[in-house]
Amino acid sequence: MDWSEFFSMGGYAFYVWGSYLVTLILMGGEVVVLLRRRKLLRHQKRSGLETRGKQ
Amino acid sequence: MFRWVVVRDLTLAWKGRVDVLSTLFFFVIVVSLFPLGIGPETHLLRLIAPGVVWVAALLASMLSLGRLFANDYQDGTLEQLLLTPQPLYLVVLGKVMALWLVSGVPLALLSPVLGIQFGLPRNALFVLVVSLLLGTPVLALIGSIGAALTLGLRGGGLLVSILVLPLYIPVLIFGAGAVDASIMDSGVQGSLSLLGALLVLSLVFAPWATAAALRISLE
Amino acid sequence: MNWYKYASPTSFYPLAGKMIPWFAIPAAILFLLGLYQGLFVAPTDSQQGDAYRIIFIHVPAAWMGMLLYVLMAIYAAIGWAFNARLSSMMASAISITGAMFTFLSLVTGSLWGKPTWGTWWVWDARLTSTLILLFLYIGFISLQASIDDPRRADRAGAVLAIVGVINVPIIYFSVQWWNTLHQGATIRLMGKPTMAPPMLRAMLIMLTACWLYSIAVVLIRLRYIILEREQNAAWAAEAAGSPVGQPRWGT
Repeated sequence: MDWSEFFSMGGYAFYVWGSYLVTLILMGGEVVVLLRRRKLLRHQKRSGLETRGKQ
Repeated sequence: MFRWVVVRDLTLAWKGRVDVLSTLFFFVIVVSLFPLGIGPETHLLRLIAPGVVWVAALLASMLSLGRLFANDYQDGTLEQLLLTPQPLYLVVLGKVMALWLVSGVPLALLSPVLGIQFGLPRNALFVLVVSLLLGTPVLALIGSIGAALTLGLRGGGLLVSILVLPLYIPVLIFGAGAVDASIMDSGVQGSLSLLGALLVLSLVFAPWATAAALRISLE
Repeated sequence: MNWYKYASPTSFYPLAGKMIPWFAIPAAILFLLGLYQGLFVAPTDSQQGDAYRIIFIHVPAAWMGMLLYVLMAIYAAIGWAFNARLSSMMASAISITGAMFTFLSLVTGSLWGKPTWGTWWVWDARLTSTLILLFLYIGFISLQASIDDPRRADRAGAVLAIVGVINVPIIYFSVQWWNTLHQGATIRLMGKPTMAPPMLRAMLIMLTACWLYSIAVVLIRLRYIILEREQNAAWAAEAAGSPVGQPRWGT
């Protein structure tokens, strides 16, 4: 398996790897935001604050 | 009841006619911005004229929506209207029609003047007026849904724009397309029929959606 | 089994928690499998070279954007018609993921477009329709974000989503019409390469992975929405304030 050829993606490395990187950032980001929401909820419960129903 | 609503809204519009006129002035000013931004080259202006006039009409229609329900909502009339035994569909239709008579029709009638500034040929000017006369009621009808959904919300006009402008896109495409077609001298009837179809669809469905939205916003 | 009991947010919360790993883990596995299939196994395309490999994420993302919008509208409509809060919460939960996928399909579409036809953006029918779909999502999310009363937000969102979903075919048709009008000879710009079986396989695996991912993520978000809205119930306060380190899905 020629790794350098694989990584260069026929010269289109920026576009192909860029796309998958953006995918990772957006999907991973979605999960991260959700996990932080959990922490925020817990923090607000502890300090007795009310949260409003949102997405 | 329908007639009463229309007459009442028209009377109120006359009383607040400054507001009405400012919608028209907005339309004119926005259209004039484009040559200033792009350059006075006549060939180019003629090319962009249908789109520019139509986009300005969209924006002006959207701004006029602020007058549709807001005042009645604030003084409590809207709640009263909801309580009448008359179907809300008719009340909505009446208000929208009054709005259109006061904002949409003058806009359509003024458009040839702007078209001339952009060098549109005579037959295109005629199609421009017709397309706007067909299209502005659709804009008012679809816009009324957005206005009803956002009653009393802090987002205001900007929120209505975000909701309503994507839904305006087919009207824009067929409306500007009709004027374009008249310049190319082909397919005008097709575009205008499509606009007409949108008008029929929105006449049937939009007031119902607006009525539902009003009930949701007012409970 | 009394399914109706799960229509209440309180009962659904733990069920959702149990369901999440069943979707999250297969999603992760299928993503890895799909990436392997798409990046290693599938052959290089004769016309587009290796640039075509972007479609393995672009096409599933576009599909998910569209499918999730319809699902969102259905859940919102059911929530409105039957006064079912959980259904409305589901619609709100879906909206963000749907918007994310739509945005992703636009970005990947742009990255695919640059090497294959030279520009970062092209106003062709599909990209333009996808952009408008993103606007529709943004409208729904903004409307719900602007309304404080959760039930009004649910119902207003339902009206907007239903109007949106009815308009989608109209918008799509008008954009197609607009595109052919202004292009003369129809150039197939977003032409997919003729799909050899390994390519199709990769596409299907990635699409399934995106589905499973969506279900998992939407269920997670739904649970937070339930917690935020049912905060008066003691059980919700306990679940949210659980002091045990990482969230445990089963609780």
